[in-house]
Parts: sequence; structure tokens; C-alpha cells
Amino acid sequence: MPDMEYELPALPYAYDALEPVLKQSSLKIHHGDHHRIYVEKLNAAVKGLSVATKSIEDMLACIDASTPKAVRNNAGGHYNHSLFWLCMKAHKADAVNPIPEGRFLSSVHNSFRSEEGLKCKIKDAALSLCGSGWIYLTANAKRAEICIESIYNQDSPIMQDVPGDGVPFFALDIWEHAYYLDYTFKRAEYIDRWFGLTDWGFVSDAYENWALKGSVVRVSRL
Amino acid sequence: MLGKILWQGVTSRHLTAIWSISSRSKHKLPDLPYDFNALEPYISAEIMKIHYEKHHATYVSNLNVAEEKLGEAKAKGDISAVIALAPALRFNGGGHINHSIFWQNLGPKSGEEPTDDLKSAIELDFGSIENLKIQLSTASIAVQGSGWGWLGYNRQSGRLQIAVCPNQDPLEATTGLVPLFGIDVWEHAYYLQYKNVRPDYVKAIWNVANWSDIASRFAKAKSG
Repeated sequence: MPDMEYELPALPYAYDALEPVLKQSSLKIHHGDHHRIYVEKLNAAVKGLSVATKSIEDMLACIDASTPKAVRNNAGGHYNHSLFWLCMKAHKADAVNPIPEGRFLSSVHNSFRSEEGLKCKIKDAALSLCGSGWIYLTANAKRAEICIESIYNQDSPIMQDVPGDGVPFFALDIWEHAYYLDYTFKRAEYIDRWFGLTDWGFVSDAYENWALKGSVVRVSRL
Repeated sequence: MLGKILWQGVTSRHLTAIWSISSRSKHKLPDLPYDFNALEPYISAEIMKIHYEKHHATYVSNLNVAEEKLGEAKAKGDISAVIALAPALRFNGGGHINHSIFWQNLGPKSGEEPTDDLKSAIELDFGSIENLKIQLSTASIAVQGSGWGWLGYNRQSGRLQIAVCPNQDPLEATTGLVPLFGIDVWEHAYYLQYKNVRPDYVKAIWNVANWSDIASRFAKAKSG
């Protein structure tokens, strides 16, 4: 099988579409530099390795403690950011951004009592993460109940040696580079405002049609 | 009798808590030995102000909160609560230790290079000062996520060593090495100025390394 050439996905919106929550200049650096470099380093790291023929989704599922760091960190970085871009949509200033009706919303009510309850718990997790990392929502074919998982660096619950058995269907970037140019040290404010960007439609669909079926959410379809 | 009147309504449990809190003075942000703009153009005043007044200050206040809770947990004999506080103590205590060293490790560009004992030790363990810079820079740049690169002193071997620590893990408590010079590679340490180009920041920081401070830490570590 031929080796994959991993590609930086195009954003589903223009660089200025997430203003004023995230500035155009910040998004250009986050996507155009950070994510692009993960992809370039991933391509270099997998040359000649058997994982090089796998999709990014399948590669992540193969990663374990024996995987070279360069593969792990860059594959994680590429997948996580790809999922992150999909979790956001163009922002209408001051618009209410509710979770649409459906299985995800029902599950949110079951586990967190309300949308606000969910957001509160996500925010708590994000503020407690003592370093760089991600906040994921996960579920799987045997567990419809939503779990909030805090994972450091570019790891993912999909990886074999990372605790947690769920499929992430929501990813919130808590690395300082995700918010520092817009919010500096104010991580709490970043998260409060970020909920105005969340594409709950995508998240609901990813929960119902991927996570609940035990499939890693495909991010490479852009 | 006076004692009884003073403490009326206060139980012995309150007394223990009050005594233990007041007998332990709170941690404070150390004075910065220079103005915020003193390290320019290598580290901007904007970064220095936020790094010191917000990030370091938050580690200090959260450390004080964690230690207060620790006092209360100990007073109650609640071992579980004591253990549960360990991550907060490690993170905030480490953050306070690390940044307190960092501000001293840096100083306005002086053009100084290491001399005497420190220079000899560096040449012995790294071949040259240039080689030390390359090795510590490489290690610091390679830190995944947040953390610190360190030049440390190994008391057992009497040698200089490079180490990296994740997040705010303090060097001495987690490795036994005495910290001599630390490079903060959390993104907050450089992002506003250098964006994602951590190597440029790490290269620049050598211009503001305070070799007098590093040498005095080395001398103290050797004699201690």
C-alpha cells in the first residue's frame, strides 16, 4: 500500500469567521503554523514505518507506549486539531448557541442536568489542567453516558496506552497557544467565550453517529 | 481566668487551626530584581509583567490556599484530604519555586560569560560553554507541552547535568539535582513575542542569563 501524505485540512470557515472570540491573526498562527507543523513533522516521522499507510484515525488507534515520540506527538497534534476545527463554527456576536434536540442533548440532561451543567464541568476540567492538554467529551458503543476527560499534551483517549475507553467527539484545546494571543493568562474567559463558537450540531452528530457506534470520528473528510 | 474569657466559645479544634495557620507565614511574590523592560529586546516587558504579576502571583496565592487546606486536613487527621492536596501543592509549590529561581537566573544583558570554577565545571562536563548552550537549548526546545529545561548540579557525582521537568515539577524535589539555571518553556513565557517559534526564544534567553547568579548557586551546591 502506498504511504499516506497527511494534509493540513482547510478550515470549514474563513480565518476571520470566529471573531471577536478568536482573532483572525491568532487563527492563522494556530492553523497555519502550529497545525501545519504537526502535519509536516508527522509526514517526516512516519517515512518508512508501517503506520505510514494508515489513515490518521487508524494510526491514532495503533499508538502505544512503544510508538516513537515523534509519531505520537505529531499524529496526536494533527488529529486533535482537525477535530477541534470541526467543533467550532462561524460566530454570530451575541447569538444564543443552544445544543440542538437529539440523543446528545438527552444524554447531557441525564448526566449533567442541563447544558449549563455540562459547560460548568468542562470549564472546571479545563481550569484544573495543570499544563498543556485537551478536554474531550467521550462515549462509546457500550457507554452512552458522556465522560469529560482531561488529557495532557497531544495524547488522545483513542491511543492504546492512554486511560479511558471512550471515543472523543468534542475537543477543546487548552494549550496556551490556543488562547494566549487573545486572552493571555485568562483561560476562564477564553472558555466562557469559546462556548459561543461551539458547533453543537457537529458535536451531537459526532456523538450519535460515531462515538456511540464505537468508531473514531473521521476528521480527514474535509 | 483571663485566658478562659478570651477564648470563650472557641473550641480546642478552632485553637489548633488558628494556631497552625498563624504560625505559618504565607508565601509572597519575591521582588523582581529589575524593571519589566530590563530584559528587552530578548524578553518583552509585556511578557515579563504578565508572567510575574499574573502567572507567578497565581502560583503563590494558590499555594497559600493549598497549604491552608493542608493545615485544616492535618488538624482533622484527614489523611485522605492530605493526599488529595498533593497535586495542588506540587503544581503551585513547584511553580513558585521555579519562577523564584527564574527571575534571579535572568538579568539585563551584561555580555558576561561564566568564569573560574563554573567555567571549569562546564568545560569538564560539556566540553565548552557553547556545547552547554546547545545541549540545554535542544533539551528545552524538545519539551513536549509545558515544562522547564534545567542545568542542574548532581551532588552525588559532583557533576553538572541537564534535565527537563514537565509542567511545574520542581527539579530538586523530583530528581535530586540542585537547580542552577532554568529555561521556562511554557508557552506563556514566550508566546506574545515569539509565537510558536520556541527555538528563537531559547536562543535569545542566553543573552540575559545571569552568570553571577548561576555561579553562586553552583558554589552553594558544591559546598552544601
